[in-house]
Amino acid sequence: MSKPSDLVQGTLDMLLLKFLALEPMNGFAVSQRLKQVSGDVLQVSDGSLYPALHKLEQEGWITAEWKTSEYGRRAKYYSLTRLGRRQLEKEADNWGRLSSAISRVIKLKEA
Amino acid sequence: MRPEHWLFTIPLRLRSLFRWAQADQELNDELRDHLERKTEEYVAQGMTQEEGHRRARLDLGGIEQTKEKCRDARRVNWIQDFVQDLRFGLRMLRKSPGFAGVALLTLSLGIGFNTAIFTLFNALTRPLNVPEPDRVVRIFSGRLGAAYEMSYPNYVDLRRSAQSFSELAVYSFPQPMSFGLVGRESTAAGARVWGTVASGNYFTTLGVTPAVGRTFAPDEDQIPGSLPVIVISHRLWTEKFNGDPRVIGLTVKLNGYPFQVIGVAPDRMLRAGLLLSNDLWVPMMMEGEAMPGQSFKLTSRNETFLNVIGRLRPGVTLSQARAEATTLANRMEREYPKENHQFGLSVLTEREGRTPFLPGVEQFGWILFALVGLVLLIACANVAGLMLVRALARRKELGIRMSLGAGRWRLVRQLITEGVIVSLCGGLLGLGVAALATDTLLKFTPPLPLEISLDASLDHRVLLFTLGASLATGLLFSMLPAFRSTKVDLTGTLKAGDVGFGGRSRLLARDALVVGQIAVSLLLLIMAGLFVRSLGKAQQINLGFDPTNRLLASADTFLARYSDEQSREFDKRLLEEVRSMPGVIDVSSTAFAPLSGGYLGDGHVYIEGETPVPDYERPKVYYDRVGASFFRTMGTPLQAGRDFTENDVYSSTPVAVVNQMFADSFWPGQNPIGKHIKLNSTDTPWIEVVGLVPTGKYLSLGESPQRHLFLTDHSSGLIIHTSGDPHQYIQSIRSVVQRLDPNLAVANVETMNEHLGFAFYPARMSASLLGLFSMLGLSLATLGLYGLLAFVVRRRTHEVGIRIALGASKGDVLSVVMGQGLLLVALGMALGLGAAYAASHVVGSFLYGIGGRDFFTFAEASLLLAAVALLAMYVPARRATRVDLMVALRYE
Repeated sequence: MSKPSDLVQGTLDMLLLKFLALEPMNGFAVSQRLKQVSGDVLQVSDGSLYPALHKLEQEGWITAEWKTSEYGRRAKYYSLTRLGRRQLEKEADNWGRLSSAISRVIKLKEA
Repeated sequence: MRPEHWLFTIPLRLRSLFRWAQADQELNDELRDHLERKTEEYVAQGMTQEEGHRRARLDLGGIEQTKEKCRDARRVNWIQDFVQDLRFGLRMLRKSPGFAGVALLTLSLGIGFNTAIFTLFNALTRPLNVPEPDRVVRIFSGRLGAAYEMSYPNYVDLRRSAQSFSELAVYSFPQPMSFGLVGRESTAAGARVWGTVASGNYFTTLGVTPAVGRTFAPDEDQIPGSLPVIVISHRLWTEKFNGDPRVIGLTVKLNGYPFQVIGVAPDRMLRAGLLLSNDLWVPMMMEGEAMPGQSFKLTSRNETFLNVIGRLRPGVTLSQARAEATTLANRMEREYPKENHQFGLSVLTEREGRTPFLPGVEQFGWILFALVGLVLLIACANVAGLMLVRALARRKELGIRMSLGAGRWRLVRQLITEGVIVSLCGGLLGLGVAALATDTLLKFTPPLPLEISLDASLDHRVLLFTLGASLATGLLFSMLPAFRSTKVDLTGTLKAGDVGFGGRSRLLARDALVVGQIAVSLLLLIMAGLFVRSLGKAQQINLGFDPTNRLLASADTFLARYSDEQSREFDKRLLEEVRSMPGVIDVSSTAFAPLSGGYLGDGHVYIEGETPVPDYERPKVYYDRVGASFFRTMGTPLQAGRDFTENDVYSSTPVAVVNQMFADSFWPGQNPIGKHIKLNSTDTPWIEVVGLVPTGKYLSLGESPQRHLFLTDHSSGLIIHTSGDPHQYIQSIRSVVQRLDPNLAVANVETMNEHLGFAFYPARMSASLLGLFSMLGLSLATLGLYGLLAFVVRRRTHEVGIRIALGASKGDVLSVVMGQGLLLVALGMALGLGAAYAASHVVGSFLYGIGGRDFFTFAEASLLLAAVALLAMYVPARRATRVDLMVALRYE
């Protein structure tokens, strides 16, 4: 069972928020999108995806709603809340600062 | 966390808590949907259905595990945190039973006494136990906040004209009555009960329904003397009739007149906020039959004896009712300018209307509340001090937890939770303390012949108060230590271990606690001192008579329907019989013993030779009617003239004895003996003044010197000057009365000193209550101070060691260690003196013989507190100078 430990802690939340910011989708669609976008770099198993989504819902950042999909099938659709949007901005900012700081360190010339 | 956030998450969390079944079902559906889609995808890639399903499940990493993880994510964190804090807190408390014990004891006393006082307050302010109690009003006659009772004719006029009230009813103050069952007249005298005269609509106005039978019908109150019925109280019913419903229809004798019982009032009616309980209600029109010789009260506009209650008509506001009352009062004054001179009507809510009967009680209640509040503050400060000390000992633990990633807020929450646990447990114990204290407090009710009915039971308001007080206390005393002790320099803490001065701010917090405790204790001590001193002064007040070895007893002849001639004869014989008893030095009579809280009468005085003025501008004086040799019996010295004689009492030539104040105000600088006065009416014969006595106390101990007049009358209210303990004469007096008339009971038997218990009641009660609270406060404060100061000194052991090693003498060390403490004590005492000075004008009116700023009390209290504080510092400081040098230096 692979864990999201491959990802820097907290980044999975940010990615999920970002996807849902683009459009509301169900869990399956999120997992498809993760794979599509990141190729095989970000290994997020389905087993980690759902707990992560539930946690985001619990925090009030996303809400879920049962809807009938394009194939006439009922599914749980997640969408971003106002709080979630704010959270996403915050985490994106943090991520920006962190990654630029780390890359500055990595680019230091060795003496 | 933002409130907005809570708005979203709380419903979700509640749903996970309470609707877990549905949430779980949704989780199932969601995962099944996922599996189906994934399988379809794999099938589309060319796998078999079975293979695809297997892969999909593998991807999910075990359905059950995933579900469990999802449930984990939904778990309700703050509740979990709280439970965790709770368990951890309880564990920590179990680990330090000393701390827990002292804190619990302190808090339970503090919270308990507050709850006790609140319980009494609650009982006094509880709404009436009737439908829509807030629509019930009381109407008093009298202008500008003065609250007097009303006469019956005025009530009838008011009731006829007033539009603002759907009902207006009246009732009298409870009166003593003899109560007997018909057919049992021979069994000595009837029991004494307290009966109230009430208008026919009294029960319907209140809206109470009887427990058994019925209440008065309005038409039962039309024709005087027509319908002899009574409603009895629930208590009388259970005590005298064992709660037997067959009491309805029974005929009983009130003061010898037969009445039929028609109903039993509901149980809680007695406790309906009308403080004095009574045993039965008689319709207004039967007043003459129930109270022999008082039927004139129904027709006289001057006989004000009725309390008016009413119900506001729906839609009418209190201010509208008040406006109408003012108009009506003016009209009633115009119609009867003589009787209704300066007539006013004040409409008060039922709740407001209670206070005129409880003068000073409300204010005194607030003083008590303030004092127990201070005790609670001291308790808070004590526990806060303990927590600070403990937090210091726990710095290492807190440091480790913080370095392991615990957030500061999380630790603060943990510490506050611990505090609140302690305070809630303290509150729970406090309820027990409160129950005991309330019982004790209720024993302090004034010694009145009537029972005071105060429902001091625990109700939701009391429980809420205790809960609130406990929570507030817990937050108060744990907030400061929690924030202070989590503000730690991590590396410093972990490195330095347990030692260190803990930062400037913690020092300040501790100092503030010491200063605050000293200030509050001094305030309490001064207040207690004032009341105790005031009691001492009250006992030295010149009463104007000698209360030792005087016995009071009376036989209520009017209750037995004696004619005037009969009672005159009876009284004469009674006095003769008692006078001839061995051991009786003197005997005299008065209808009203002095300092009963009431008086026989008051009246306008006409002085011979004065310029005539209208009645209402005439000075009013109080008067008593007493028997022969009254002053000799009372031990009152005559300053001039003579005592009353038998002849004065039974002849028709009226004579009077006046007091010094009376003489000074009407005949300044002249000899009053031989002067003439008239009382109430110019048609009566002149009364000659035959004696002059010093000014004493007549209505209450606290009164300013009053003009007082003594007239003569026969009465069966005996005052007996005995040789030796008056109690040993009670039996023989009973047998004398029995011999004279077996149907008469001896009532109101008490020694004069017992009788004075009523007059001394306010002084005694306030002194003992406040004394108790202050002593409690002081002992708590001393405990706390000792703890804090001892701790401060102990923290300096190392420094002391260095100082001694460098050659400082013990005296030097002592002064250094105590110097800081002394400064704090001085600061606290200055604050306390200031507060006491500010509070003194509030308590001043409750004191006898001293002002609220009594210098001796202030000085005594300050000295006592200073001594206690010095001792609390000296003992640990002394110990500090004795430390083993090597131990002190190696301390680290």
